[in-house]
Amino acid sequence: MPQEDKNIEEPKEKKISRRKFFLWVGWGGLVTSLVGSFLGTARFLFPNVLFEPPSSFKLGKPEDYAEGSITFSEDHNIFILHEKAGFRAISAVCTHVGCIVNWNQSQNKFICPCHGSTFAPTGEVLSGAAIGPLRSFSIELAKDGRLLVDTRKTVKKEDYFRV
Amino acid sequence: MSFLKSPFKKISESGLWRSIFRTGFPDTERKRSLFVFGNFFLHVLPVKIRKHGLKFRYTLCLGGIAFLLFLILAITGILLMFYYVPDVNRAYEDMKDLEFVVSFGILLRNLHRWSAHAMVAVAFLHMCRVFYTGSYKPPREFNWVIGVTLLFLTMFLSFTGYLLPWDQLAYWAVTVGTTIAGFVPLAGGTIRYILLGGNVVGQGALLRFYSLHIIVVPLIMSILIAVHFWRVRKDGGISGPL
Repeated sequence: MPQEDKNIEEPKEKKISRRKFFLWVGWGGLVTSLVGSFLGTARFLFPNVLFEPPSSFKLGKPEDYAEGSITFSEDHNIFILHEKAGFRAISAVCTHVGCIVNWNQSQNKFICPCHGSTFAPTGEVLSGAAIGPLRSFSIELAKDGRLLVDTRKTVKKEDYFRV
Repeated sequence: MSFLKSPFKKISESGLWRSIFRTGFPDTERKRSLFVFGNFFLHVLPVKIRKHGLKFRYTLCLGGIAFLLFLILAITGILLMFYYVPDVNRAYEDMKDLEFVVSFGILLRNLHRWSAHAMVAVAFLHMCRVFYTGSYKPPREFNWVIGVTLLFLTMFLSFTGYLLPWDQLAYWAVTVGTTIAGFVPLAGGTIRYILLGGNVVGQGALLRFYSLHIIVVPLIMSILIAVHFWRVRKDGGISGPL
């Protein structure tokens, strides 16, 4: 309060006029509401619930896949390989632009029908425009004895699932 | 003298006509101008144009053809909307219905598809014409920028529309296209997630692409087309000597 008595005689630089104050409040309020609306709209566009296939799922029992066989699961877009070393669940989605690859038995490799990338049975890129290997997913044994694949967990190409 | 006037003149000087159009028969320069000025739909047009604006050989009418195609697409598109539902379980069949069951459906659908391809080609050729005639030079530089933006919007409309039949061609084209979008540095993953409404091409993607295709992009494009035309007029009209 003693400060204010001084200001009546000599206005200090910090003092803001009523006009300026209300201009700040007014424009500030408008800008805040516009920015807030924009941010709200942007957040709105990101869905919170996805109606998509689950990332981990059960397949058949280990006995259902003969040794040396390669089975394609259309529902999950993965190949299940049963090799001497064990089981591998490999992604069938080409790392180029997302087409589903085919297994070529005679050439012993995965070939993508879209642009011709080829992959080894372990997933490594052999040729073509693909930028990375086909991922192998983790396999566990579920309580009912079926194979449980989790596409959220990628395993190294040396890792096979042994029953 | 009233018995010499033609029937049309008689109608256009009746009370009913005047209540709608405000002018009588446009037989003077002033009345002709007033007819255009005083009309909501027509007053955006120039009352007169320079003779060079009619020169076909200079522009080949490409910009005008692109706009005509846009109108055809809008009208056929609206009509197609009456029989199409963007649901993954029925989109393909709705498209087949339009082809085989709906009266003139096959004509509307094909007209829409062909016009879409034609519009992309014509817009590109129009861009070439503008370039080779130097019509992008000052003061027209910004109109060139608007034009390129319009070209990208046209292609985006084509891309979003391509998904709607929900056939193999559509599904894989969008899979490839959105995967490429995902490779954009920093924002790529986010762009792909928003476009698809998730991680896979499914119902979310179909609905979002539909929404973008029927209203969001056409609205933005209409506004930019209006600005594009406005700038041509303000810069001295079409086909004139630079």
